[in-house]
Amino acid sequence: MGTNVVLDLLGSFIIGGMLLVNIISLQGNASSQSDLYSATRVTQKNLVTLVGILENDFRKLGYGVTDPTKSIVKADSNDIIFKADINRNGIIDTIRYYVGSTSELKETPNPNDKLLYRIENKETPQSSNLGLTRFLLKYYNQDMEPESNINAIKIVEITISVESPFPINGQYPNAFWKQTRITSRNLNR
Amino acid sequence: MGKMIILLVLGSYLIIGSIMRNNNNISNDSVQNVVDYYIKANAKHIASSGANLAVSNVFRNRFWRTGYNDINFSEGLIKVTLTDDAKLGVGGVRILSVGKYMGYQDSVIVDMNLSYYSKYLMFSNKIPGNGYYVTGDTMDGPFHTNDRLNISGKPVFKGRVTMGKGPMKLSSWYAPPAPEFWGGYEYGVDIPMQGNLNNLASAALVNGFKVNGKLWLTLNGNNTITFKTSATGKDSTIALNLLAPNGVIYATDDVRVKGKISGSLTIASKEKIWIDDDIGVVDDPRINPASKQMLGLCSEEEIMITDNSANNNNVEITAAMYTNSSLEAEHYSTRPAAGYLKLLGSLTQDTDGFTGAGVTKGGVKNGFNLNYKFDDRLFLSAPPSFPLTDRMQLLSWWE
Repeated sequence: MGTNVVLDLLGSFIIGGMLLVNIISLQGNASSQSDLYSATRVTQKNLVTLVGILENDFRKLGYGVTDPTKSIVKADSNDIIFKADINRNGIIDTIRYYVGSTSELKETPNPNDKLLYRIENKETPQSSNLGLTRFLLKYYNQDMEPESNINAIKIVEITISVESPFPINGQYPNAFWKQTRITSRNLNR
Repeated sequence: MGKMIILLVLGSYLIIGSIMRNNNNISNDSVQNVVDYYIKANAKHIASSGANLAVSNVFRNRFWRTGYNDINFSEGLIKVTLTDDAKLGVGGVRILSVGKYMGYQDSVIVDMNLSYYSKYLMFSNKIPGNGYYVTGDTMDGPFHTNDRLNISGKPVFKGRVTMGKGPMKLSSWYAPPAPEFWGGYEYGVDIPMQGNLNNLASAALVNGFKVNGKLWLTLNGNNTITFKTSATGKDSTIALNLLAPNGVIYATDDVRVKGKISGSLTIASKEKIWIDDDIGVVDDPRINPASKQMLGLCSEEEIMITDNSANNNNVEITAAMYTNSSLEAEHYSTRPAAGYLKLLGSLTQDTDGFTGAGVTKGGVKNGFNLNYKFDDRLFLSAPPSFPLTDRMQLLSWWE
């Protein structure tokens, strides 16, 4: 084995090693990005699921209620009780949405996530951890002015923020928010 | 050695390609997630638009049943079908609107029917120019006038308000105008009154009780009625379902009435109706909101609160009233102060009538103070053969 061969081998080891280091570094970055993308995707899906559930219920607000001005029973910034024949079975149901406290989700690293509860009539509250960090309700009358009188509410504005329950690189960067104003036609009969 | 480098380069390409493909998939999936939501939301909006178009057509022409068969709308398709449904009431129609967009579809169901005049706590065809709603006036139910609404101070309208003419006349003569409309308000809604009560006369003739002349009625607090057809005539007592199986009693002259009925009944007159004492139903809807008992009073002339001893200390009326003239208190300006005229039900009248006089801070000096409250059951039902408007109403909207 001559000197040239040894130099070739050393050269190839050096070049190959550099390539290998680059690939490992790239793999690390890509893996980190992949985690980020995955968390983003999960958070986004959680948001869409949450919004779908809320829209489905809130668009039925007042359905089947004889006097539309009596459809909303309670209207707080993070707690609402309303009436609607939600199952379309001729029986008026009472639906409540409210958020729990952050202390209920101590098992997740995110200090801000909390549970959104839904209660139908007198059933047990139902919830799932979708990474909700903000649930804010605002109420408006037909002139789009803020309204505190529950009988005069015509529009409900919902603001939601969802974050990943687990940190990625020490942060919870995947926050989403959705702001929508829902007008149930049943309130405007 | 050359081969090894080529293998290393190819291998690195494979690994990098695989990573990029994975990241792209995640990224695409995120986008697809949003796109899916958009498609579903758009299909729902297209269905809502179809329902809105159909409702608008039915409001203009209540016999419109054409619908739409996959018409293009916002890059999607609308299919609307309308089906008559007697279970929804007189003129009941169900609208099914289906919106299709990019392979996804959603639907909206709207129920409509003809509205009764009794769906308003107060329906005034005309409001005098000097007739103001002022601070302290509370309309605890839907309100309609074909006229202009005059406001001074802070009256509260708890139900929806519709007006034929606008804008409202706002005046500060009583207090700075600051009306509250809890149910919202709308201009340009004109609902003509019925010129006569011939439909009630026909109903009474076919399967009710029709009298040519005057009629005295006492509702006996059960399912019987005592009646006579002249002031000196002999009383007859008979069960409501035997006297008027369809629940309609009609007289071509004045009717005098008092008492409570266990059942549903509409009393109509081509002339005046005189209320001689408290009237209503036995199964009080304030105690039993599911009560099926209803009383209707309809007259082509005035509905009068008789000036007698029974009516000089509050009068309670649980009924839906319709008059082509007005509700008035007999001798309203000379009779003594008589407490409250308490109405639970609805009042449709051509013009606001006088029920009291000499308004002071302590109440009226003569006649009645008013206390009107809507009977929620009248949103969707009415006494037998009660007059119908020619307008459709939205019963419910499902999406």
